[in-house]
Amino acid sequence: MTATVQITMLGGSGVGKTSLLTSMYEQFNATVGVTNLQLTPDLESSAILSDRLAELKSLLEDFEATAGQGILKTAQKRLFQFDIGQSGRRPSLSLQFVDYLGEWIDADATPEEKLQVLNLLRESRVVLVAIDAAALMEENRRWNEKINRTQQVTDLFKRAYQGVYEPRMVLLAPVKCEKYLSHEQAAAELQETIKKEYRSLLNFLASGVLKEKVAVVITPVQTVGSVIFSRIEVRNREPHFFFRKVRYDSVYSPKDSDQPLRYLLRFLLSMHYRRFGRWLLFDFLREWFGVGHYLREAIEEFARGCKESQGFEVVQGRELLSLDHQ
Amino acid sequence: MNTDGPPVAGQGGAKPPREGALASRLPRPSDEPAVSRSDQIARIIESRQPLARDIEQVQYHLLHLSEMLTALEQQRDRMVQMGEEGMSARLRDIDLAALQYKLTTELENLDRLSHRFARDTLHIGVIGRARQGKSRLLQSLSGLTSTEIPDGDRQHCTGVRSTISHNPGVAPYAEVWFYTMRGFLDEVIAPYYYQLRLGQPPDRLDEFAGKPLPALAANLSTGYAEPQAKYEHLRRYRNTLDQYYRLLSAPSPRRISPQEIRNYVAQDTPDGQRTNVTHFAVREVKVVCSFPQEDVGKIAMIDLPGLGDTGIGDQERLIATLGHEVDIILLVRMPRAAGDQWSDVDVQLYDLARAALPDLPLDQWSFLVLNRTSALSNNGDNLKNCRDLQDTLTSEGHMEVIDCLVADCANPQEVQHTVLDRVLSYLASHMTALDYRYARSCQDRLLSLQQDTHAELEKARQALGSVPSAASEFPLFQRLFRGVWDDLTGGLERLLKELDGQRTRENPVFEAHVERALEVCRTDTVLPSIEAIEIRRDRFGSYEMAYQEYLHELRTHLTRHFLALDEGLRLSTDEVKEQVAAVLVQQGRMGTLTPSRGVDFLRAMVDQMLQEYPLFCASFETLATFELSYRGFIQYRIRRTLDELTPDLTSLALSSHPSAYEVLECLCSLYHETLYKVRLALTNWLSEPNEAAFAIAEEFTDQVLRAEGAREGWERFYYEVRGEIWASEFQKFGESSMVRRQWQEAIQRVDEASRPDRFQFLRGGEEGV
Ligand SMILES: Nc1nc2c(ncn2[C@@H]2O[C@H](COP(=O)(O)OP(=O)(O)OP(=O)(O)O)[C@@H](O)[C@H]2O)c(=O)[nH]1
Ligand SMILES: Nc1nc2c(ncn2[C@@H]2O[C@H](COP(=O)(O)OP(=O)(O)OP(=O)(O)O)[C@@H](O)[C@H]2O)c(=O)[nH]1
Ligand SMILES: [Mg+2]
Ligand SMILES: [Mg+2]
Repeated sequence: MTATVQITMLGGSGVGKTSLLTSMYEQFNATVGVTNLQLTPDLESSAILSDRLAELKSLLEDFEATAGQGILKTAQKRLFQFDIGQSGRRPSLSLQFVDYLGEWIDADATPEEKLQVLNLLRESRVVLVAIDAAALMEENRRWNEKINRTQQVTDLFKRAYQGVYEPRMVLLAPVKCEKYLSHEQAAAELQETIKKEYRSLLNFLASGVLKEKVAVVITPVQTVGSVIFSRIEVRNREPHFFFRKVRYDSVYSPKDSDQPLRYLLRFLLSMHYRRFGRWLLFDFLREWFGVGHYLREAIEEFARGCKESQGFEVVQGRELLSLDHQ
Repeated sequence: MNTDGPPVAGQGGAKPPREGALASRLPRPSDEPAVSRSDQIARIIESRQPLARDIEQVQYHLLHLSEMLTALEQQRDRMVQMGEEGMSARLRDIDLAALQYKLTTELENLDRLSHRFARDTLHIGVIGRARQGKSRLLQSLSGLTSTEIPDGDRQHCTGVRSTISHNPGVAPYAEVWFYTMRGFLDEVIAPYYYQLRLGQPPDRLDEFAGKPLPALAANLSTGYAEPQAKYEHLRRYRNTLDQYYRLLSAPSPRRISPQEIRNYVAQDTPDGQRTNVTHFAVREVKVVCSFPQEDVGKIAMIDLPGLGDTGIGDQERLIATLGHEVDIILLVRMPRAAGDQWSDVDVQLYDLARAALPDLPLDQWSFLVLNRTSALSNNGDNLKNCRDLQDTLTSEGHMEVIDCLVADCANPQEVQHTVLDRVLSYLASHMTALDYRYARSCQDRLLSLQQDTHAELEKARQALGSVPSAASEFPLFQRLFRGVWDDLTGGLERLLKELDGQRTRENPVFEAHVERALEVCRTDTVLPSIEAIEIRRDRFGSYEMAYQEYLHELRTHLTRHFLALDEGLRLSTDEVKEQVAAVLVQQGRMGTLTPSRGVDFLRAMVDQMLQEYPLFCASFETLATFELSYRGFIQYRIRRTLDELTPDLTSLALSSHPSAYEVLECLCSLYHETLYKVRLALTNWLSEPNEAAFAIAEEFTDQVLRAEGAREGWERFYYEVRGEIWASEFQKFGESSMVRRQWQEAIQRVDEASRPDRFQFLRGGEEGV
């Protein structure tokens, strides 16, 4: 029997949800390969993500890039399924990432579209909020609301998380953030700004029972690496973000795109250890983890690699991520 | 015609002074017959010097008077605009322009006079029509040959004024003085343009050479030979320019050997075959040599180009030379052996000379020399003709001269004996009297000018009329002042509040300029081409060096464009000045004090009204001159944003195997990135001009209204200008009003500047001459 965990990618149109997913997929095999774990996408996901990867890498063909280059807008909601298992064994856990059109959280999205997103949030144990870091950081946050839709994102959470009683995890994942991770001080600034701009969301998640139930982690991912923010040019009132390579001969070199997965698995494992047995969802997890402790150990080893500095921060719910055996 | 005896005394003209400073300074030849002629000449020259200095002093005073008159005139013109009809008419009636005109004329006269008295030689000028033997006469006088004093019988020979001075015992040498380019254009070329109506004279030499000569107007070019000939002459100046223009920038004087003189002076080569244009560039030649004659003294001869040439400046220059440089004129005339008589041209020449020094009758400082040629000469024997002309000099020639001398100019003994001796004796015995007469007539005119000035000043004093006593006006004034004071303070406070409200807003004028500068930078990028990068790489040896060089260039290019922000800053600060000025004009009712508005209003107040109110004056001045500049206000704030375009600071190094494309792309990216950063930095400061505007307006208000004693100061000021501010309540220019006081002061200053002693250079008991 296969257990399935659903994860929603959340964020405004063009912030980098699909890119984030793509680089997570690419890096997973690279990083995880050393352990005993294996991540197997289903055939369709594999084909699509390979295409996206090629597009993402094409960002490095030119010295400079702006919107319109790289990954195209996602045209329809899509599920990407990854099976995790011990190498050589039949996989027994499916991670199901839902990538939808960022437009669905726009103000002018149809009620049906909005409802779909809302339902996704309700159903998903884990949410990855992709944040366009350049839009967040540049020009005194002038473009943040327009691009990252912070307000809509917050409102969605407020509606979806009403009466939530199972533990959940929210990953705030800044992307396009190479410039702000170049040194310690900039990274701290990025963290501060996220906490400030998403204060309303964070306050909500820290209120009442949610505080105990929701883990919140900031996980910056450099989906391309070696490409940094250059400038914004406004044409017809629309901002165009320009990025350029740090050196003319730089190549595709993503960083930390394994981190969201590490946190994800850590969260799942922690749930298992903490015997939240009463909850249906985690029942089958217990079963899954119980299959063999080799797998569990492999996952635990992997999960222990979660970063907590250089821009990474567990904002709340540390106990929901604890790997202490009880 | 006077053939003997001193004509000055004999003709009832000016008598030599018996007493007085000048007379006592000058030697008296009759008292001391033993003194040699050269000593006498030396003493004449010496005694002239202090007079020259006194005249310079008077010139200086007259210039000062002229300034004071100008100030009075300006004050008058302002009052004419403000005053009522009758008063304006009286003011206009003061003829200051005529005074100024006379003053200018007298300054010119004094200039001639002081020049004459400052010279350290006595000058004998030789004039006459072409080919009369002037140069030949000078050869005989000086002992020089046609090498040093070219003569010739083709066309016009002497092209340039040359001064030949006697210096006993020296070997002959010469100095050439060239025109400067400016002098050449102004003094030689420009007069042609004016006389021939060719339009604006060229301002630069290349303009004269490069542009075609404007065509001669049809009404000048047909029928009249003279304009045509002059036009041809001008054309020669232009077409031969390449042969002489270098000399116009040659240093002067250039010392030359006697053999070279001809080249600089004569209009043709010795054989008369070719024309020579070097003299076009020459202003004057000075030849120094030792005259053969005994007991000559410090004298110089001036050889002048023959008149009747088509050179336009000739006549003017001749007059100027005679007026400034010549003490005695020799008019040279060679009667034609084939038969001759006095003609119009002779009279014209005489009249021309007469105009040179209107103060001295020409018959007291000119000799006529009839050039008697021998039978061997080209002219043949003209003795008979000489006698004819001599006899008919007054009856037909209508010329009066000291003496009419007949001499063979080619014969040195004859010339020295008949001409030079006579002239020198005359100089020695009469020059002092002539000088005195000349000086006296200038002095007299000055004294009459002084009286004219006083007559006009009297009119000026009366012009304002009298007004009722001011005391009774005071209560009314106080009431009115309270009103205007409330309006003025209220108006400025309101303006301040308004400016305060705008402090944090972007200044639209400045913003527009910033946008424009950024747009210019965006479109005018001066990014190099691939080829240019390759060339520079080859020059420097590496792409790295080329890249760094280009970074520098792009950076300076950017900052250069930002200098244009100065204009935006100026306009944005002008705005607050205008706003403050508007309150002063409207609520403060100061508009009637000057027609200027805006910034000019503030300046006019500083210049004309507030001089005795130093506190207000300084504040007005501060406001009027307040400025924000790119360098002072922006430059240091955007400096850091240029780091990426600074080779040592940029984060973008070239890769290990660079190419021209890479260089170009990196430059392009950095350029736009930097421009972006500059834009962000600048947009932070868009409200700054408003901040500054508020600050300067507040400071102004503090100083001008809120400072201690400010109200009392303004009360005094308004009282002084009450007639202008409240025209229907008070008399214009009333008692103790500012305008009346300024007017009286201006009159007072003219009065002082025109004290009789300031006009006086001849002193003592010399009156009654
Ligand atoms: N320079 C740079 N560009 C990126 C990065 N990540 C994504 N992009 C570009 O950003 C654009 C949007 O990325 P997507 O991943 O399609 O964004 P999305 O959130 O999936 O957008 P929708 O599908 O419209 O909702 C694409 O052109 C990407 O190539 C990054 O890390 N750096
Ligand atoms: N024999 C003789 N020749 C004379 C006499 N006076 C002048 N000449 C000649 O006449 C010609 C003209 O004389 P210049 O002295 O050049 O005449 P100028 O008045 O200086 O003429 P410009 O310089 O053209 O104004 C020359 O060839 C002289 O040598 C004279 O008294 N006797
Ligand atoms: Mg997408
Ligand atoms: Mg001559």
